[in-house]
Amino acid sequence: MNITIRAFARFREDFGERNELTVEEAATLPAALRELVARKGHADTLFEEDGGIKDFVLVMVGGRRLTPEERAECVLAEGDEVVIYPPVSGG
Amino acid sequence: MIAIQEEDIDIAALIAASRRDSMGAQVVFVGTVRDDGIEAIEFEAHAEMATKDLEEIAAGATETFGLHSVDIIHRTGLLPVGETIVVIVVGAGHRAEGFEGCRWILERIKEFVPIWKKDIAGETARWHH
Repeated sequence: MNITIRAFARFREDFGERNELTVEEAATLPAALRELVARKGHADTLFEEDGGIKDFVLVMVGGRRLTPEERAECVLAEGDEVVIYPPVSGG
Repeated sequence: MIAIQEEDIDIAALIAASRRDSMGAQVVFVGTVRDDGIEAIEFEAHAEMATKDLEEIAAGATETFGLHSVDIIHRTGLLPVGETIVVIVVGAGHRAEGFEGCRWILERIKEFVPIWKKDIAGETARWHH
């Protein structure tokens, strides 16, 4: 299935602003992010050495922010837009 | 008015446009680029999400503090030292809820709205966080 991963700020510099990816049906969010780093490198930007997603990585799917628990278990669907970004610093 | 924009902000016009006869106070916060040994700050935003967040923050502040008006404009792009970053204009019946509401809005912006900044100093560029 096809999904889009958008990245902002320093994540954009590592992965590009927009990535159209083909992943397995019902792929999990972590699996999709592993596919992204397989293509673009910079695994250490998003992942700990044990393979878990780093705590500070923020994720939205379909415009909704995911909690760390949801982030680990999220199952993606055809056409989903995933947004990944570092901690915010506005104001 | 709630906006994420590159253009500079006409603060006086914003204050004038938001004034109502019911208000006894308008509290204005202007965030600016401070000289911390840098030349500029580059701001990036997820504009669609940030705008939605600002609208929700404004609604939350209105309800929580009984505000009469809330305007929030946050700029993006390369802003040299001294430039305006963000303007918050809060209209209230009395000063206490105006000050409290304005501060509450700013703290929420810093907490979760998807806006990022990168310090620019000569050839060096450094993202916050």
